[in-house]
Amino acid sequence: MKQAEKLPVKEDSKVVKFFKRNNIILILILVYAAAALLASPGLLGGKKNTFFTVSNTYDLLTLVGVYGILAMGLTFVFIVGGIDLSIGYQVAFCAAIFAVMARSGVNVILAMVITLVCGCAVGYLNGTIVTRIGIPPLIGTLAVMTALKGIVYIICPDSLSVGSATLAGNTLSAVYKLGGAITLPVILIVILTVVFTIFLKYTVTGSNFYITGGNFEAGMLSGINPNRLSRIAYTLGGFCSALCGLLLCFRTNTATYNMGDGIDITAICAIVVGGVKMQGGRGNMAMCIMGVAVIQIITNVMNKLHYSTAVVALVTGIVVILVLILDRFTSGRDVLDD
Amino acid sequence: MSRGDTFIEVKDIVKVFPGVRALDGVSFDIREGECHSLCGENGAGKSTLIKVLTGAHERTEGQYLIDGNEVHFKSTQEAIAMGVSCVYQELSIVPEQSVAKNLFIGNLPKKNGMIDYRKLYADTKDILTQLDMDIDPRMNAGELSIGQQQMIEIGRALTRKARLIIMDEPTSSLSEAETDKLFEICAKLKERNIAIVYISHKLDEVMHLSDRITVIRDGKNIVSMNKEDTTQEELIANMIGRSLENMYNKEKVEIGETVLEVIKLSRRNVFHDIDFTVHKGEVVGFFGLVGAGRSEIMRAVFGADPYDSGAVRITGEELKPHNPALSIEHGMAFATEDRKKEGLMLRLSIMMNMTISNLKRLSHFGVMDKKKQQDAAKEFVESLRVKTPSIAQLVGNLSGGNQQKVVLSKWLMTMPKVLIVDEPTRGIDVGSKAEIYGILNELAKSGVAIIVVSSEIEEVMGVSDKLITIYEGAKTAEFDVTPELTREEVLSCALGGAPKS
Repeated sequence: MKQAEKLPVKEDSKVVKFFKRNNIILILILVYAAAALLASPGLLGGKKNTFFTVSNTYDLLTLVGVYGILAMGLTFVFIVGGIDLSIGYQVAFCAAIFAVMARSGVNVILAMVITLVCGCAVGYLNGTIVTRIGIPPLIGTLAVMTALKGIVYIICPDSLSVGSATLAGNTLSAVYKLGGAITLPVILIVILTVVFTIFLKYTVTGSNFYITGGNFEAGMLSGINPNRLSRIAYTLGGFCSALCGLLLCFRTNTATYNMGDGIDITAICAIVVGGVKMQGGRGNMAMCIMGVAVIQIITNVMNKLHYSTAVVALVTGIVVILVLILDRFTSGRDVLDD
Repeated sequence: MSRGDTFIEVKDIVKVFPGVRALDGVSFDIREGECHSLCGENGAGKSTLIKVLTGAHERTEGQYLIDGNEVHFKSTQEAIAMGVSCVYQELSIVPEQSVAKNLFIGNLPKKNGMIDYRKLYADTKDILTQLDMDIDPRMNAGELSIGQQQMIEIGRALTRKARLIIMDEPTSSLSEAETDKLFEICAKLKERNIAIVYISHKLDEVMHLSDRITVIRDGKNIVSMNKEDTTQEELIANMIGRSLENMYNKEKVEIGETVLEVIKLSRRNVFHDIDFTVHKGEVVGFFGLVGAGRSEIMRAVFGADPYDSGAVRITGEELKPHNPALSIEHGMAFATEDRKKEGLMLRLSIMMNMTISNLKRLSHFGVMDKKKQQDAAKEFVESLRVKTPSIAQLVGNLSGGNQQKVVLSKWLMTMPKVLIVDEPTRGIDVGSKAEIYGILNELAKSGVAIIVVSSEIEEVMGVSDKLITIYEGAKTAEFDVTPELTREEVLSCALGGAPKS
């Protein structure tokens, strides 16, 4: 069959092309402006704007830091064309084992290292289940999630306090806060964004993540071992979950069994909004962080305006769908071609 | 080594798959800088041979020598390292990645452990110049046309210092201009002493491009010759020249009135102006090579795919708006090409599979009548001689031939006026083939109008009363099947030639 001759299409300028591919930048600006505006006293806000303040901006940055780290891990998994549903319980699991160790007097640094190793191990387990046994990621990681849930309920039936009186507890709270704007999550996410971006762009392993998710067969035929790369991605995902678990544990000095509820789905929504492709092969850390920021802004502003969790969830869901519709229109061809 | 020296030799290659001898002693050699074409019908063993050459399959017997040393490739990677690369029919482009990364996939230049982007883009420019392509190395490969993507694949082979590039049906999705471009590049590659093994159904391309041509048939190489010493007709004769066993037993059936009429059916870029009629008791064969558009036409006739213009009529009544449900209602049945994917539910029983399209008739007020179902299934198991211990057997456990009989039963239960069968004997052993032909004969005798789509020339000629050839989405000829009709004539029309007289 003859290929249809290409119709002359009006070429977009470079700038337009850039924004079409990265519409999350515009969405982020739009959502932030809308939030700031809606929260002002004349509109939905009460006596004064509680969203658009310096201290709330610090809080917001910290939230983006904590949940951004989790989402970055998932971004690796998405890029190789996988999905990890167990990240929520990975967070709870890691927080719980850290709390157990810290309470029983294990050196805090050692406990943190062990926790991070455990996170990597769970991630690697996910990768192994998907690539070596060949169970589809949706089902494989769902099973791991369920198993982790069981473990978390056993070691942490209610909530485990690290104990603010202990030396560990004190140090951690102090470190978490540092000075006002500069909290531990913010520092960490800045460093990790830089490191992960370099990893994805400048190392062969990171670069080949995109091949794995973009065209598995082509990767196979070129001898890059996409299965091994997938396992690395899942392992990095586990590492990030563990880090997120530690941060959440530091914040309140406690680990609770339901700490990970819902944050997995929020992370998925956030990176999809950011433009990371679920089918794999496309996405980067900047997209991920901006996606997380959009979701966190929406949640935060609605909390400030005293809407119930139910309304927040509803609005978030609607926004995700709207963004995806917008994405279909701007990247147009994908839909129209089928 | 210099131009024209033999550097790859395969001797008496045998490849056995469970139950099939796909290659049965193939020998041929490749010289530096030559274009060597492989020709053969579908299923002749070309693909298997390529897979052996590229390391995707290991040979069962025989020798494979490169520069006089025997090689045993365990992966395509090893073959690539020895200079044997392949441009696959299915392109393996990573669409969201840059042209540069696509070219150097698995082979990215590094400096201090990091990707050396400066060198990557410089090297890419270099390769693109060799390919006469003026594109930005940073642009996404997904934005390129199919022809350009194919060039990228050839470029990939160049980055790996290929000495032999195998091209498997490279022009099957290219426009004419793109094809010409490909030929230019091939000539350039030859100048640089890179050998090409070219596989194509399009014999004019083969004649244009090749230095030597090897014909493969039934897993054996029939002949290798210089292009100058042969003609297109001789190639065709060599490709098919085997005696026809009399497994068809075609009986003369009284041809009745027109049942199915297809008028000027067209779908942009897929097929155009397809005209034909099928009468009661008549078997019409459709022949064309893979990708000619046969199946697409049939799907449109059945209403499973849309068409832009034209009409389909059954006993004079136009089917409109056309969809499969309406076609079935009017007595059409369609046994698709891929029975496992489109025709059967492998994890359900024979009975369920056979009766699934007839549940309305076999139930009362929406409640299935188990007894009726069983009786119907038993009847067909007996009449079509499905070899099975019981009608409760899962279809997935049956052999290919018996599965095909289940598909036919399913459609025959709807008591069709028109039966379309697409590749009815693909992957079926010879014995079952004969039985399937017998069933088709019986149906024709009982007055069903039948369309048989096949890429096996003997099959269509054996079962049909009338034969239509399709080439690149167009009907090229219509023959009455008589003993005088030769395979050469049919095949040349299916390859785009015009009918004699």
